[in-house]
Amino acid sequence: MKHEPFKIDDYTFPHAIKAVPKNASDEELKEIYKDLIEACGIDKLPEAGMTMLVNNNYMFVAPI
Amino acid sequence: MDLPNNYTMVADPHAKEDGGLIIIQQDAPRQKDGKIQYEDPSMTVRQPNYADDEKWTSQAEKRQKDKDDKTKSNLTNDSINVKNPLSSADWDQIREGVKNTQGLAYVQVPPVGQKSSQPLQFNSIHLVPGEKLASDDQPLFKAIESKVDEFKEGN
Repeated sequence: MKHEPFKIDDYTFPHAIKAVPKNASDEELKEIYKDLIEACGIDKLPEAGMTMLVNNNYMFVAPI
Repeated sequence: MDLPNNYTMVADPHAKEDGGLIIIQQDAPRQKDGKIQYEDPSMTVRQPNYADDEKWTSQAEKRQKDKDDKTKSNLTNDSINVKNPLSSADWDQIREGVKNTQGLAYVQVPPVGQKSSQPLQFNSIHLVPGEKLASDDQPLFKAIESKVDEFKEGN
Protein backbone atom coordinates (compact mmCIF):
# COMPACT_ATOMS: atom_id res chain seq x y z
CA MET A 1 0.00 0.00 0.00
CA LYS A 2 1.42 3.36 -1.03
CA HIS A 3 1.16 6.19 1.53
CA GLU A 4 1.54 9.64 0.04
CA PRO A 5 3.63 12.07 2.10
CA PHE A 6 2.01 15.28 3.27
CA LYS A 7 3.19 18.40 5.05
CA ILE A 8 2.03 20.00 8.27
CA ASP A 9 1.08 23.63 7.76
CA ASP A 10 0.89 24.63 11.42
CA TYR A 11 4.64 25.08 11.72
CA THR A 12 6.77 27.59 9.86
CA PHE A 13 9.67 25.24 9.10
CA PRO A 14 9.52 22.75 6.22
CA HIS A 15 8.87 19.20 7.32
CA ALA A 16 7.02 16.11 6.20
CA ILE A 17 5.25 13.15 7.75
CA LYS A 18 4.20 9.78 6.41
CA ALA A 19 2.36 6.78 7.81
CA VAL A 20 4.47 3.70 8.64
CA PRO A 21 2.88 0.32 7.76
CA LYS A 22 2.61 -2.25 10.56
CA ASN A 23 5.72 -4.43 10.88
CA ALA A 24 7.59 -2.31 8.30
CA SER A 25 10.92 -3.80 7.21
CA ASP A 26 14.29 -1.97 7.19
CA GLU A 27 13.92 -1.42 3.44
CA GLU A 28 10.40 0.00 3.82
CA LEU A 29 11.63 2.40 6.52
CA LYS A 30 14.50 3.47 4.24
CA GLU A 31 12.04 4.13 1.40
CA ILE A 32 9.74 6.16 3.66
CA TYR A 33 12.72 8.24 4.83
CA LYS A 34 13.72 8.78 1.18
CA ASP A 35 10.20 10.00 0.32
CA LEU A 36 10.17 12.35 3.30
CA ILE A 37 13.53 14.03 2.58
CA GLU A 38 12.26 14.63 -0.97
CA ALA A 39 8.97 16.02 0.39
CA CYS A 40 10.68 18.55 2.66
CA GLY A 41 13.58 19.31 0.30
CA ILE A 42 16.52 17.91 2.30
CA ASP A 43 17.65 15.82 -0.68
CA LYS A 44 18.50 19.11 -2.46
CA LEU A 45 20.36 20.43 0.61
CA PRO A 46 23.27 18.02 1.26
CA GLU A 47 24.77 20.41 3.83
CA ALA A 48 21.59 20.59 5.91
CA GLY A 49 21.12 18.74 9.16
CA MET A 50 17.99 16.77 9.90
CA THR A 51 15.70 15.51 12.64
CA MET A 52 13.88 12.21 12.12
CA LEU A 53 11.28 10.79 14.49
CA VAL A 54 9.61 7.43 14.06
CA ASN A 55 7.12 5.38 16.05
CA ASN A 56 4.73 2.56 15.21
CA ASN A 57 2.41 4.87 13.26
CA TYR A 58 4.37 7.54 11.46
CA MET A 59 7.76 8.96 10.50
CA PHE A 60 8.49 12.69 10.74
CA VAL A 61 11.45 14.46 9.09
CA ALA A 62 12.52 18.11 9.28
CA PRO A 63 15.73 19.90 8.22
CA ILE A 64 17.96 21.66 10.78
CA MET B 1 22.19 -3.84 27.45
CA ASP B 2 24.21 -5.44 24.65
CA LEU B 3 22.52 -5.78 21.24
CA PRO B 4 23.59 -7.52 17.98
CA ASN B 5 26.48 -6.12 15.88
CA ASN B 6 28.16 -4.47 18.92
CA TYR B 7 25.26 -2.09 19.49
CA THR B 8 24.61 -1.13 23.09
CA MET B 9 21.56 0.44 24.71
CA VAL B 10 22.36 2.81 27.58
CA ALA B 11 20.48 5.39 29.64
CA ASP B 12 20.66 8.86 28.07
CA PRO B 13 22.71 11.04 30.47
CA HIS B 14 21.07 14.21 29.07
CA ALA B 15 17.57 12.84 28.45
CA LYS B 16 14.86 15.47 27.93
CA GLU B 17 12.28 12.77 28.62
CA ASP B 18 12.62 10.77 31.86
CA GLY B 19 13.70 7.23 30.97
CA GLY B 20 15.24 8.16 27.63
CA LEU B 21 17.68 5.64 26.13
CA ILE B 22 20.47 5.82 23.57
CA ILE B 23 21.55 3.10 21.14
CA ILE B 24 25.16 3.37 19.99
CA GLN B 25 27.57 1.07 18.22
CA GLN B 26 30.61 0.50 20.38
CA ASP B 27 34.05 1.23 18.98
CA ALA B 28 35.66 -1.44 21.17
CA PRO B 29 34.53 -4.30 23.43
CA ARG B 30 33.41 -3.41 26.93
CA GLN B 31 36.15 -3.17 29.51
CA LYS B 32 36.30 -5.73 32.33
CA ASP B 33 34.61 -3.35 34.75
CA GLY B 34 31.69 -2.95 32.33
CA LYS B 35 32.71 0.52 31.12
CA ILE B 36 31.96 1.38 27.48
CA GLN B 37 34.52 3.13 25.30
CA TYR B 38 32.74 5.42 22.85
CA GLU B 39 34.18 8.26 20.81
CA ASP B 40 31.22 10.58 20.29
CA PRO B 41 31.33 11.76 16.64
CA SER B 42 28.82 14.56 17.34
CA MET B 43 31.48 16.43 19.33
CA THR B 44 33.47 17.06 16.15
CA VAL B 45 32.35 19.35 13.32
CA ARG B 46 30.30 17.55 10.63
CA GLN B 47 32.24 17.21 7.38
CA PRO B 48 30.57 17.33 3.93
CA ASN B 49 29.64 14.03 2.28
CA TYR B 50 28.01 14.15 -1.15
CA ALA B 51 28.78 10.54 -2.11
CA ASP B 52 26.23 8.67 -4.16
CA ASP B 53 25.64 5.41 -2.30
CA GLU B 54 24.21 3.77 -5.41
CA LYS B 55 27.56 3.99 -7.25
CA TRP B 56 30.45 1.55 -6.89
CA THR B 57 33.45 0.71 -9.03
CA SER B 58 33.47 -3.08 -8.78
CA GLN B 59 31.35 -6.02 -7.65
CA ALA B 60 33.79 -6.54 -4.76
CA GLU B 61 33.18 -2.97 -3.59
CA LYS B 62 29.39 -3.48 -3.86
CA ARG B 63 29.62 -6.70 -1.81
CA GLN B 64 31.69 -4.93 0.86
CA LYS B 65 29.24 -1.99 0.97
CA ASP B 66 26.28 -4.37 1.29
CA LYS B 67 28.07 -6.26 4.10
CA ASP B 68 28.94 -3.00 5.93
CA ASP B 69 25.35 -1.78 5.52
CA LYS B 70 24.04 -4.83 7.38
CA THR B 71 26.56 -4.72 10.24
CA LYS B 72 27.96 -1.20 10.69
CA SER B 73 26.34 2.01 11.87
CA ASN B 74 26.51 5.07 9.61
CA LEU B 75 26.36 7.31 12.68
CA THR B 76 29.86 6.56 13.97
CA ASN B 77 31.66 9.02 11.68
CA ASP B 78 31.57 12.82 11.32
CA SER B 79 30.77 12.89 7.57
CA ILE B 80 27.21 11.58 7.45
CA ASN B 81 25.39 11.75 4.12
CA VAL B 82 21.98 13.21 4.98
CA LYS B 83 20.42 11.29 2.05
CA ASN B 84 21.35 8.01 3.71
CA PRO B 85 22.20 8.72 7.37
CA LEU B 86 21.25 5.28 8.67
CA SER B 87 22.49 1.86 7.58
CA SER B 88 20.23 -1.19 7.47
CA ALA B 89 21.78 -2.18 10.82
CA ASP B 90 20.73 1.22 12.28
CA TRP B 91 17.19 0.90 10.91
CA ASP B 92 17.05 -2.63 12.37
CA GLN B 93 17.87 -1.27 15.86
CA ILE B 94 15.25 1.48 15.48
CA ARG B 95 12.61 -0.96 14.26
CA GLU B 96 13.23 -3.42 17.11
CA GLY B 97 13.48 -0.65 19.73
CA VAL B 98 10.19 0.97 18.70
CA LYS B 99 8.46 -2.40 18.44
CA ASN B 100 9.66 -3.68 21.83
CA THR B 101 8.99 -0.49 23.80
CA GLN B 102 6.00 0.87 21.81
CA GLY B 103 7.95 4.09 21.99
CA LEU B 104 9.45 6.79 19.82
CA ALA B 105 12.90 6.80 18.23
CA TYR B 106 14.64 9.89 16.95
CA VAL B 107 17.93 10.72 15.25
CA GLN B 108 19.45 14.14 14.67
CA VAL B 109 22.31 15.11 12.35
CA PRO B 110 23.83 18.61 12.62
CA PRO B 111 24.33 20.81 9.51
CA VAL B 112 27.76 20.67 7.82
CA GLY B 113 30.24 22.80 9.78
CA GLN B 114 28.30 22.45 13.05
CA LYS B 115 28.72 20.17 16.05
CA SER B 116 26.72 19.21 19.08
CA SER B 117 26.69 21.47 22.13
CA GLN B 118 26.47 18.50 24.49
CA PRO B 119 27.60 14.86 24.31
CA LEU B 120 25.39 12.27 22.59
CA GLN B 121 22.90 14.85 21.27
CA PHE B 122 23.47 14.12 17.58
CA ASN B 123 24.70 11.04 15.67
CA SER B 124 23.05 8.53 17.97
CA ILE B 125 19.72 6.70 18.07
CA HIS B 126 17.52 8.04 20.87
CA LEU B 127 14.68 5.90 22.12
CA VAL B 128 11.90 7.01 24.47
CA PRO B 129 9.84 4.01 25.69
CA GLY B 130 6.08 4.37 25.25
CA GLU B 131 5.40 4.31 28.99
CA LYS B 132 7.68 7.34 29.45
CA LEU B 133 6.11 9.38 26.66
CA ALA B 134 3.85 12.22 27.70
CA SER B 135 2.62 12.71 24.14
CA ASP B 136 -0.62 14.45 25.12
CA ASP B 137 1.32 17.35 26.59
CA GLN B 138 3.54 18.03 23.61
CA PRO B 139 2.39 20.43 20.88
CA LEU B 140 4.42 18.72 18.16
CA PHE B 141 2.88 15.30 18.89
CA LYS B 142 -0.59 16.87 19.04
CA ALA B 143 -0.05 18.50 15.65
CA ILE B 144 1.23 15.26 14.13
CA GLU B 145 -1.61 13.15 15.55
CA SER B 146 -4.28 15.61 14.40
CA LYS B 147 -2.82 15.68 10.89
CA VAL B 148 -2.58 11.88 10.82
CA ASP B 149 -6.28 11.67 11.80
CA GLU B 150 -7.16 14.28 9.18
CA PHE B 151 -5.19 12.34 6.56
CA LYS B 152 -6.92 9.05 7.47
CA GLU B 153 -10.37 10.68 7.29
CA GLY B 154 -9.56 12.11 3.85
CA ASN B 155 -8.79 8.63 2.49
